[in-house]
Amino acid sequence: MNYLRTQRLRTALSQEEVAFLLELESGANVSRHETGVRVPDLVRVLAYAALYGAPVEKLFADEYFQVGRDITSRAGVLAERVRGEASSPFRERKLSVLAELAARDGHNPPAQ
Amino acid sequence: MKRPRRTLAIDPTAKGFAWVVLEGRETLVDWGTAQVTPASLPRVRTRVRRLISRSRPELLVLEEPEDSRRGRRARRIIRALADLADRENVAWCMVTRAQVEEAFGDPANKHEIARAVTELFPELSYRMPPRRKAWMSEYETMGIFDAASFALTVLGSLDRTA
Repeated sequence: MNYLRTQRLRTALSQEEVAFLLELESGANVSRHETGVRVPDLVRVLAYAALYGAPVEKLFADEYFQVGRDITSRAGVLAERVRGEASSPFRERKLSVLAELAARDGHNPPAQ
Repeated sequence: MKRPRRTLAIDPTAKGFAWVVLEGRETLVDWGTAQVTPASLPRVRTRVRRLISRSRPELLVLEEPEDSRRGRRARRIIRALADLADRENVAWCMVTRAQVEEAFGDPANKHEIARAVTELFPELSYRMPPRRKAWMSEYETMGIFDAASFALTVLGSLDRTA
């Protein structure tokens, strides 16, 4: 679930009005974005963030959480690979970044 | 019962139903009214199933039909929604009007409760209906405030027992 609908309801704008502001064909496109039937492209995502004055990770909190969790789990796998590399300042730096990522314990969705 | 992350509350209206979705007790994430025409139980069920799959609630809150002045159609819808929640693996519970009035204190008529709800959730203020006169039928948007009051009553009692 994303929070596009929540933010729109707070503004009292209709889907048609949001479509006009975002230069979308019709309110049906906004509905598809809100219900998750269609994923908006990057420009639209940024447009939603600008329109509602809310950061992307707040508008798509569940998706952000999921992506963060995937990265965290892959960071562990990549760290294993990097550990096999010859010792160098690059290796140490990468390992420290990956350890930090793995320690994040997912990316908690921000409160709405 | 554990405090649910997301709660859906539904109130049947004359033309369909009204709903709210809360995250915790403080955040209102979705609300609205659905017009189901022609009003039939399968259509209401379909709309609510869609709402459940979209909002993924952990708890569904309804008004207790046996202890209210709701009509036969509304009672039937409420019972059907409880069955639907069972099938969708969503916990459900019912509140009585007396519990809602107690939770919101005296004097607790629907309009006062709706006003108390808008104080908690100012984003609902533009849906607040004017005070209803005795000879007028109920505004459809009042269902949103009723649904919110059901959810807040249950979540408040869960907080007190926690």
